[in-house]
Amino acid sequence: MKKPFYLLALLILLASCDSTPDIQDEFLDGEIVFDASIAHPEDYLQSIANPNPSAQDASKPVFIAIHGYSASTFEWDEFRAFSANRNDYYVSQVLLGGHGMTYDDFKKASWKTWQASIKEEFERLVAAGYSRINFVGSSTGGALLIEMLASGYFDGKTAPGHFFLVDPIIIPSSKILSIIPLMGPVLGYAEADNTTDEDRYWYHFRPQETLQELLEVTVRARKQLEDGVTLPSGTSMKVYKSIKDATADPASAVLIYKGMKTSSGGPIDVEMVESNLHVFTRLALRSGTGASDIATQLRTFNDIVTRGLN
Amino acid sequence: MLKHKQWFIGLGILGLMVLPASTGYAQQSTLDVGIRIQKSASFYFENGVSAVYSDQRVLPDRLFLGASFVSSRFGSALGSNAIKQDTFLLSAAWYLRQSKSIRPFGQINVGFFRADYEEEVFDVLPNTAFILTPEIGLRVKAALPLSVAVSAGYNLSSGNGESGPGTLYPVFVQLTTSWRIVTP
Repeated sequence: MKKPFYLLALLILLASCDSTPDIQDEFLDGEIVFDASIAHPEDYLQSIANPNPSAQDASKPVFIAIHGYSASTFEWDEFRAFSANRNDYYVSQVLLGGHGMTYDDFKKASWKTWQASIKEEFERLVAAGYSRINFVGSSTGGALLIEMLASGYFDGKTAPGHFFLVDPIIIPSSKILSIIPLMGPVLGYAEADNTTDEDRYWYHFRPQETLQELLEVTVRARKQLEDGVTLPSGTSMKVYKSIKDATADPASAVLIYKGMKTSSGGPIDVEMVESNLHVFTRLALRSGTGASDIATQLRTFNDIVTRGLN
Repeated sequence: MLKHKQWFIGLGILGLMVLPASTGYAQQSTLDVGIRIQKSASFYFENGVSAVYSDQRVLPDRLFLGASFVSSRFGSALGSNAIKQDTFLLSAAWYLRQSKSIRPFGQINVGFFRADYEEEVFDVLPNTAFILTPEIGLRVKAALPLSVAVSAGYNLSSGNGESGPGTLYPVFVQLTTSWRIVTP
């Protein structure tokens, strides 16, 4: 007697697992809105803007700015605007692989694809002669950079000067991510709580495949930190972490601090920031931010630039 | 050196090797003491000790009261940079299929969690929590006074980035290998 009930329950479950979300034209997920750096890479990537720098230009610091999971270059637009009147350094905004295009492009990309764009820009800059390269990574951008350091990517290459990680994610705030291998195939995708404007710069729908990739790279970075990661000689790192963050758990900063050391075995710098925003350096399109958020953003940008120029 | 996962599997196999079951404790008070190996989903191994007691005067061999202590110090933080965190639990368990060798059980744990973030700069972060975890599993009695309990549990008070310790994860599985002490 119970078999028909179980069969019905199974059919309902399968029917509820529709893996095709309702993508609207105004979403980044669709086929109309794309990240602006795809059409105009010269406005975002220093290696494209000036692939043959003079000796003087090549000696200026470059900040490679890396956004987080499901975001786009927009996440660092305010840093670019902050730097617009400066001629003593460059900002190069990398679009992570698989991002900024359609939902299906995003769905197909692995974390290694995300990371490949960072490596490509770094290698183009080094090949062009830029010698003072810094990294600024937010959220998953931080995890990807830690993975690059831990896996020895920089061995034998031009050592970056500084790493600045803003709200890096090692531990997700939503612990549901920890069981996504189990729940993901049932869910199909997750829906983000973006505003209408944010939907143009962040994916509205997050395929479960990408959530599994996010889990994989954060767990990998965590384990690498547990084993210990050493910065290249002459390289420094500073972590800026909101003390309340609904996306990247603030305890992520603890793991990075414990696991990452300078080449001489010293500690890295950590600043716990009085904020409840994830990637507190991005204020555009947010509601409810105030003067203290703006002051924190500017203070952080100034700190990054001041350290990065030394 | 064996990895944590291999220890987990090895102890499980050890438990299965000592089957079949012996029975006959139903009217006696019993005390099981053992080693608890716990793994949070996508996070740490936290290992420690466990003891459960059943009194002959109160629902013997059905109601078990227990206490356990697990810590990443004996798991993922052993020889690594993982965060040192400790969990103390008191538990009440109800066992089904009295006198059978394989016994399903349901358990409620209450306790206290504390993570050691070590540096003063992290004092702004929550690192302690009172915890409540339902747990269900199976206990397999062995021919020797050994038994193996495997279960899965859910922490109702895990961290969410805005409150609660960030290194307290919700879903865990555990394996306890126990030695039964029969008291008169």
